[in-house]
Amino acid sequence: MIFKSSFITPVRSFFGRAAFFVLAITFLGSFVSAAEKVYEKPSTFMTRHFGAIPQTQVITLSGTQSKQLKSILGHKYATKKIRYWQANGKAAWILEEKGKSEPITTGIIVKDGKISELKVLVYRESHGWEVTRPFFTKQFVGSSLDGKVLNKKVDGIVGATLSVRALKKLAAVALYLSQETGK
Amino acid sequence: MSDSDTTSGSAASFQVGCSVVCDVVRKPKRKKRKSRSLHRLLGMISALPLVWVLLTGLVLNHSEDFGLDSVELESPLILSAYGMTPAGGAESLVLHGHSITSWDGVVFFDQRPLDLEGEIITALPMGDGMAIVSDSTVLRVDFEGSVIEKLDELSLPSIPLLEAGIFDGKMALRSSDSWHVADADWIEFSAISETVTPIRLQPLEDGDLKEALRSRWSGGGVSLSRFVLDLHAGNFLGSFAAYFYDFVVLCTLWLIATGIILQYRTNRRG
Repeated sequence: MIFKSSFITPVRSFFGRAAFFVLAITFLGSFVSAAEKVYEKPSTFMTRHFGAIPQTQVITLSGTQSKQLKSILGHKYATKKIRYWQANGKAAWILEEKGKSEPITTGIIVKDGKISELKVLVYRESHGWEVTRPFFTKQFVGSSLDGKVLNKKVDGIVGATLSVRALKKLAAVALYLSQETGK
Repeated sequence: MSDSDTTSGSAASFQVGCSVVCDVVRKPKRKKRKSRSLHRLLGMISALPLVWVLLTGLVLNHSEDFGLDSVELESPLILSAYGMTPAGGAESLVLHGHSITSWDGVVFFDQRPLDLEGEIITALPMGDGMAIVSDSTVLRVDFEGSVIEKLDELSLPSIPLLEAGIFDGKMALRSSDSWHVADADWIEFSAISETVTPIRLQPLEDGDLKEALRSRWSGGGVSLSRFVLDLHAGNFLGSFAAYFYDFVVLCTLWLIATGIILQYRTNRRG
């Protein structure tokens, strides 16, 4: 019995430690890396821009629109319907795109076909949080759509490549959807 | 030379005629050294862990050749040992022939995990699919499990949501103040004074679905390369591994040192 318990305890200990690394690094890693940080609640973002939250509107993606979004994002958008809010000539989009493994919730205001503000509202990745900083997000202001990419160059951030890429895609998606809803 | 000459020298370091049977000249007894037996003992102690490390190292060295990364171990025993099996009981609901199951933080549509923020409350059957309700989000999914849209705090009456049910064929959500009923498009919610019977998930009975979800809960098995690496690194010994390997290293160094000394002595004696 002594042998059994003294043998099993280290075995369990091993698998416990190994599980931690496997979970953290590989798939499941999400539990550790999911240190969600809310920079601004979507409702606060909306209130700041519109005073009160405007009537919710929904765009149901057509086949063409889905294809266009796929070409911008490199994959299908997560939902078939996208909600947006419109008032005072501005459209607000709350969109999500995965950086490395977690979705980045981003608020984007589009006015006259150009981005007037892009703000990361919720950041869940363990790395690349620098994209939440104004010095980075200010680069998007004034951008419009040129084909399926932004017409302005956005400088990247070392160590946050995937998050930067995700935000560029979301900005393009917001501009494209604003074009579509403004038709 | 006579016998007396040879026997009389008692001060000599050897003696003659020690036995009546044979007449052998014996060297004096030397102090017995323990180096060789210690060397053997250390050799035996070090052999097993060294062979273990060498063999697993050899396999790891060719992990790509052997395709170890592509092999996943999904044995319940191994998954359990790695802590990759869900804890607690699973709760489920069958809607439109599809099961919505929640188990230890993961929500499944049939056997496919869904990205749902917050703690799941329930799932509701709707005309064009179903609503999966958590305390902070409502996912509208179709019959194939594709997400049609996601409602968060901007679109919900108030969060956290506490219960959900069906009222007059429409989705009803209860928050801290009252029940709210969604319109047909789930755009507007209106508060109602009536009480709605909440729909709740039910404990999932043991069966094929539960077994399938158990292995899918972790998102996959343990890769064989990872498993061999853990064996190689001695992680199965837990925190004791570092000390054990220190011991093996010291034994090996001592083995080498005693081997060199023994070889030197052997050479010196000719």
